[in-house]
Amino acid sequence: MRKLALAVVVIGLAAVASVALVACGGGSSSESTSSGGSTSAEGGGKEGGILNATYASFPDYMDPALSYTAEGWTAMADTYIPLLTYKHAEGVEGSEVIPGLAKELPKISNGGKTYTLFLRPGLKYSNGEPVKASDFTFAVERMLQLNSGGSPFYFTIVGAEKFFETKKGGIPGIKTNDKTGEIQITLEGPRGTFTNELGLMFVAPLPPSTPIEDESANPPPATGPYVITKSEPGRGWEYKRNPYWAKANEKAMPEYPTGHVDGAKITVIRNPQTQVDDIEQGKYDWMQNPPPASRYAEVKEKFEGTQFKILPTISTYYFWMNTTKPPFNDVKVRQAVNYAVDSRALERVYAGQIKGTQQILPPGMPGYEKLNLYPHNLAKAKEMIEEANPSDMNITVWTDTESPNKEAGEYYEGVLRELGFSTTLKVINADNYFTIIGNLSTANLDTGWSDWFQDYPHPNDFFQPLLSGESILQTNNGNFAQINNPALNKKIAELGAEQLGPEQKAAYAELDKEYMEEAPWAPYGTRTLSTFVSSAINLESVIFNPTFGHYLTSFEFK
Amino acid sequence: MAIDPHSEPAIEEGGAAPFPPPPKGESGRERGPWYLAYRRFRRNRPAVAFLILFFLIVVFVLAAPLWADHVAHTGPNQSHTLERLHVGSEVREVVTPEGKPIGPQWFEAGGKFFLGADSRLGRDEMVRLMYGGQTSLLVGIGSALITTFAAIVLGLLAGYYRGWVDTVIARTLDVLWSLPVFLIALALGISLALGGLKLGPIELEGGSLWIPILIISVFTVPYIARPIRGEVLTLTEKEFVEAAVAQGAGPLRVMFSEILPNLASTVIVFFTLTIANNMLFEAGLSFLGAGVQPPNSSWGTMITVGEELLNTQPLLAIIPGTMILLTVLSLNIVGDGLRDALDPRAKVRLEAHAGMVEPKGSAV
Repeated sequence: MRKLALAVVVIGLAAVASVALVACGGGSSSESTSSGGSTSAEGGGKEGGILNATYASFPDYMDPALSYTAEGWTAMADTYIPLLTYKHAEGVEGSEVIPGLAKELPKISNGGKTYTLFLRPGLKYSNGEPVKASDFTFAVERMLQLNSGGSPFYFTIVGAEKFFETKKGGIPGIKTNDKTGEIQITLEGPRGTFTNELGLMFVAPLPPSTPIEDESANPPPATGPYVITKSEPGRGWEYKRNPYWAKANEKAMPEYPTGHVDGAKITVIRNPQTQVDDIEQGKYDWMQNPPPASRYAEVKEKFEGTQFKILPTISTYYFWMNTTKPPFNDVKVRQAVNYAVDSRALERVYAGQIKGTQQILPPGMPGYEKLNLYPHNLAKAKEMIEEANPSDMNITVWTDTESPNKEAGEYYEGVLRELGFSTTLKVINADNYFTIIGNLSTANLDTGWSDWFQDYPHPNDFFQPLLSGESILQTNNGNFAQINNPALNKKIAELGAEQLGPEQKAAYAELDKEYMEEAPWAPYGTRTLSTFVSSAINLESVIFNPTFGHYLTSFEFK
Repeated sequence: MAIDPHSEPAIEEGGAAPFPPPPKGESGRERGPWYLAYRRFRRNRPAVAFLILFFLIVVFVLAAPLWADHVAHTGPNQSHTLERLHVGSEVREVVTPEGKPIGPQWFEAGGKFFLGADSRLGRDEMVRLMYGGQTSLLVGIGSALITTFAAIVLGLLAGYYRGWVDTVIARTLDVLWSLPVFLIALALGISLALGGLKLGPIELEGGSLWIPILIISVFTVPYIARPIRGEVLTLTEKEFVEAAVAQGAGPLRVMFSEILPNLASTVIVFFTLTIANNMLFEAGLSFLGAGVQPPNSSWGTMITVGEELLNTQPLLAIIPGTMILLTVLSLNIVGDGLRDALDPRAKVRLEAHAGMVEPKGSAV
């Protein structure tokens, strides 16, 4: 009898304690930890303060030469300015290329093969060193020596591809003059997207003393308004105002925004529930990733217009299939998978944050023309798999830990199992996911999840890095399907050399169809992202650029 | 149990007779210690009740295929995101376009989605609960078996041989005990889940259930091995061991024929409690992603999924949590009951306080 009483008391106490804990946890103090700054500026917002923000994962690299993810580019956009940059604006305006460290847009001559730029005088790095024209050459060489995922963009520079392979001999195609600040780049052939590519951080000038290794734990000196003062990979990082921005660079680049906050402290918080709770309570001011699907409806209802804004993007979410080995080396199998994946189900898995598509180019990208090659038909898919009878039915499905990509991976694995495959799901930490699946020596790279957001509004950005056989790299690979179709490779290279006009857009739409007939991917949607800030931040001033995400310089306290 | 009033010596109020003869049953046979223990256990109502509850839970999880095939018509890992249920004239979506999974239907949809859908993937929560229970129990019982076996071997060797064998084993166990067991198990679990385990001839794939079973077994061994070693050390001092050695029994014979039977009651109690402990360990590891890997479910992984939806569908976390609670509680109370039933000294103390009459020294 006594034992039973004791058991009942224990259960009762546990129940009371857990209820008390839940009640307490919900209403912790909502004091904002951001320190107040100086008096309000004319724009209505307050200048100063330290922004406390969270990311759900640490960027793949905190090194401008290497990073190729949205997190990395958002983190470093206002720190490392390339020769050209993108306008600090949203939507189509934000895709416009404007001068960065260079005085003007490049002068293109010699049939589109020579680009001439001049460095603005008087520019300095955050450590006081002057920025020289030859630093651009150093940055390009460093990027190629580090086997960066962005390397293929610059192979058209004379001598660059050879340098990438041999790591010796310099790049004859880049000539600089430190006295006049002149930079002359010679290409092997014209390239329609090269101006855009000069605006990417891969080739942002760096001091020549920067070590030729991954500097994520010790980021190089900055040229932008903010410098990264501390970086702890996996945990967080901090920004302070670049002292040489106010002293030197700001005067040389008057159109570039200076930023409102005095600095920022970023913490990696992997639990998105916690991130949302923290913003709602004012403990943190901004979360870089969108709210998780399970809280999305709630946040949208409570905060849209005041602290929450929905942002359309130009992106494609897809499942890649390794075309080099069974079962996905058979085009019929790949097409069957496209019949089997139902983007309407995935729309619900993402709680309405994706809109279903089934092709390479997303809506909003020039050259997009809607295709409906594989209307959902599970029975047909099963038939096709049976007919194709692949020799290897054991496959590994890869995805990362960030919700809802994780659930998308689980859904995809379920679909493959229904098709008769024997599947193993591997869920990788978001910090390392792309590094792991981009390393061709990783075992069992059969199929998995991925996404792609436009780097610039030109269809070549989707085809060349992701689907051209010439972009397949041993490490930091982006062509996960490892598709290498010589005819299609040639088309990509040809179209990439031309300037974008109506003819080229139609040709890209045709290329989209041809690739979807090969079906190296099962694309399923295009994503909406969002801005979610605490009540202390002015929602209207925050700028989301289609390539670089939320600009640090656009955040201001109310 | 019945005490034959005619054969027992007179017992005064408040006292107890010194060393009475063993009790006799109705047939006049002598009852051995196991039967006495069984009778004592049976008298312990809470322990019996929770034992029945534990068996009910085992039956519940073993019935998973029956429920899945005949009532729910779905497997544990099958997604039904776009499905609609027709309940009378109403059409309900298993997952709404905003991503909210349906709540418990009980029997309204013919038993489908009895406890609702588990997440935006639209899997049947009841079916997952039952299959998940199979995994949780399998890991708990499997690892308890391995732990107990290893602990017995190590305890016997250390306690019998003493000397340097004992030093090596005892110090290794000390080191294991001093480590932050959960953290290391967590790290091991996550890294092995990806790459699998390759140790010579043993090759385990990343998603194999053997990985959490082995990890949990290894780290729980010190907790069982040390008490067993202590008991063996005491037992080897006893005369019957000396007698066996004098008769020419080799070490293996002494260990397995003389010492091991005397460890039986300790081992049984520890085994039960270890199952409970290991189930909690597994739930913790799986919750953090270091134990059972998706898409397989165990009660721990179901709590992970439920935690995300705590604000909208709290039942998804409460239900698996309650199952873990009930199972672990039952095992603990049964374990306590077994200890009371098998350990004479503790029982005698209890008897004396309760003023009940019970012959002393009747069990081991």
